[in-house]
Amino acid sequence: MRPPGGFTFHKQGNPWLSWHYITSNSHAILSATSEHVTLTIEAVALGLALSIPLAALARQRQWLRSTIMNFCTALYAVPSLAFIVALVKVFNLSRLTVVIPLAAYSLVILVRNILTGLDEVSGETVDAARGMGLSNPRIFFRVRLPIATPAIVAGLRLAVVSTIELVVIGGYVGGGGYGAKVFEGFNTKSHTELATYIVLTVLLALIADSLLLLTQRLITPWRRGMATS
Amino acid sequence: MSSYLLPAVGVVSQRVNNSTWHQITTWFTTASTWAWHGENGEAGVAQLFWEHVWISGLSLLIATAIGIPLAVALTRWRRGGLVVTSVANAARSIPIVGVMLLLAVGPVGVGTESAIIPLVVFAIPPLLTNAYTGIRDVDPEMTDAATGMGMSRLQVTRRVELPLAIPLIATGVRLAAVQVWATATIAAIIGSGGLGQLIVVGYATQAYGEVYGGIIVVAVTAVALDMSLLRAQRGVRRRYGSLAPIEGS
Amino acid sequence: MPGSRPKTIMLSAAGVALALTLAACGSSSSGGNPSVQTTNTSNSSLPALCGGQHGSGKVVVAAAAFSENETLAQIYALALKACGYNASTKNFASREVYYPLVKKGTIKVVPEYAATLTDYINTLANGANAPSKASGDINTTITALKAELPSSLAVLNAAAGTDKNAFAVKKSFATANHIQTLSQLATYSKSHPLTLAGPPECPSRPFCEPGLKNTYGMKIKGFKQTDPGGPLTEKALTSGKADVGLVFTSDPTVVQKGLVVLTDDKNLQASDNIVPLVASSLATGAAANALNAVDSKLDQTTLIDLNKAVQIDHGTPQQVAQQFLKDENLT
Repeated sequence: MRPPGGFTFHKQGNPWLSWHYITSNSHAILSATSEHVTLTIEAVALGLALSIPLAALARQRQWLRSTIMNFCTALYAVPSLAFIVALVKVFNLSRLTVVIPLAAYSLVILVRNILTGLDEVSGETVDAARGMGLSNPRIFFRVRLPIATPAIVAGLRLAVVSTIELVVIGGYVGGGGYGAKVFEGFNTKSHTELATYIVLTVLLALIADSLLLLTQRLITPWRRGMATS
Repeated sequence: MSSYLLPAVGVVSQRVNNSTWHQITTWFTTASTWAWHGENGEAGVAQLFWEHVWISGLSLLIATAIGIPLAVALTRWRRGGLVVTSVANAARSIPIVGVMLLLAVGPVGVGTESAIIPLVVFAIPPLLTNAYTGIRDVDPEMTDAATGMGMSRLQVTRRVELPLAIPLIATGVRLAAVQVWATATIAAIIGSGGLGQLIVVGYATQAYGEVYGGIIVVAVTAVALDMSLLRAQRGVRRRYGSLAPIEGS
Repeated sequence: MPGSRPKTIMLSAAGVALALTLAACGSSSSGGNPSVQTTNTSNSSLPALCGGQHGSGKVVVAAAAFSENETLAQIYALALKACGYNASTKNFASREVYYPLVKKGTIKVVPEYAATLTDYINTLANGANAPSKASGDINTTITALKAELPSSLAVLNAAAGTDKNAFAVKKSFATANHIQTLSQLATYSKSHPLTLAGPPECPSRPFCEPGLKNTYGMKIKGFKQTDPGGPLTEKALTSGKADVGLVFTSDPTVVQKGLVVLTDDKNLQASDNIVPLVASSLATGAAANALNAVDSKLDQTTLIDLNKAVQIDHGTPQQVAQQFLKDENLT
């Protein structure tokens, strides 16, 4: 019935994990990894860029502080599927569809940690800086932020790890990185592809967390050995 | 503040045109939207809401039944703290949507079970960490005194440790509940129903009323749950006190 | 030890795997396609499928979220890449999601299905109840499709391969009674009325039970409710609970289960041949040459084999696309 010479493909099993899968798809894995890392960096960078002014603003008045924190908490409670799908029609294929919700989710962690860090700056330190003739913006960027850095990096660790995990859901609306692969694995019923990219997501989070932990220790050598988070 | 927002609003209103607004308002104002069944027998918001409550409630219940006794057991073990932090860290980095999809194409199959298993598993870490910390931070003098009064190990746990840990356990329950409610939305991708179905089906058929209506319903219920649980948690704190005054007693 | 230099080891292992694949391809495809004499080995010259033209620019190929479409999208993207385009694929939940983006020009290529696309665009323009313009004859369908496409879009050559409704019987039954077409089955049914298996809507849809009765004059004595071309239908047929069942033409499990698809010789089913929907700017030149070259190889057997490679042999769409293009001497 079937004409000879049809296309044949070497049968691969559908195990949960296979080394052969990793070696024969190394190219796809590397490009998905670079996409995933880029999306994560973009989202966290945007989150950080927004959270520093938000935290600075929150310190002005108590009502601002609680309003901003409540707003961030509420944003965080919005389910990711809803948030991402809501932006598809606005940004189409743009990476912003995925980057904006992820940045929004990182706000609650980052703003809280920046505030904690800024609160640690003692009044005497600020008075001393003022005594040296530093203006308020300069005090913020030269004195307050550097002192708050350890707390900010601790927040960054949490934000990066959860962002790496959240990028995956972006695959549902055509976002890149491991998400695209996870949903491809779902559509092609490939246990191997799904499990591989789940494990890769965890590994990536672990690596990113370790790198940030290292950074944290490098910039705050006096805190070495102390428990964080 | 509003002037900064204007460009963004401009983009949104440009891309989301009149017919989309019309579809959304129609969706909200049609009675059958909110009914148990829609006009063509499709699930209405009432039914989907009930499914969502059921899936989330069941998952939270199972997770609590596992998480709290596990926390108690781990406080009895020298390395318990390490286990608790490892579990919490691992849970943060595992992509739950991936796990759901894997279960759906794997042994469990498409449907509610593939959703409930990861919902339970991922609800355990917040319950576990908070309950563990709550019990561990109970003043040893309190438990010693109770033991001295002749209470058994189990009685000490039930009458002293757990009540004193309630404020933190409540925090854990709130975090787990909010997370389960939000994640149950994703479960609609693997056909487990719930409010997420509005988004998934609406998105696939590009029915904007359903998509944006679904998004709003999902977001509002999630935020409302978070807010009301936060309020309830504060109530619990007031009633049982935080750990600080207990140390003074 | 491995732990110290994992990356190097991974890459070299990948190299070995690639070399093995290449060797395997070389042996399996030798003599397969005499029409293409030269295979390009250097990167500077373009493969034959581009028709001597060089493409450039960014091209997003969309795929709907199901395995066959994802594989076809990968094949199209890799073929376009080979011709110099910066091509990538993106997955979407459904046609409803990607079509507006295709119209806008954000997406430039989609592997489409001729009849379904014709009906889709028709209902967009004329409402959900507009009478279908798709036909059982692919040429008629393509003409109708071209007439209703906006000027910014075009379709290229349709492939012979289809993914449409079809009726299957047990292979042993077909061989024993010399049945290859639905007309032959109808003749057989005059003396042996048949039980039909299909989805719940089958008894009321023109392409299903009514079509078999009216177009072919088939005698049907009973209906067994199963699923749309899924495992339940296959089981009903293999277990003998039904004689004929509704399946899909490109489903690789049909052959695996010992079933055979009968020829729809009276064109009851709308012609859902694979056809590339492209932006008008790609309707000529390297992209058109490449996609037409790919489509000329996508016959029914090949389409089933591609689906089998992904759904049963578990290659990733990308792997399967790569090997297909190599085996067919396209890249």
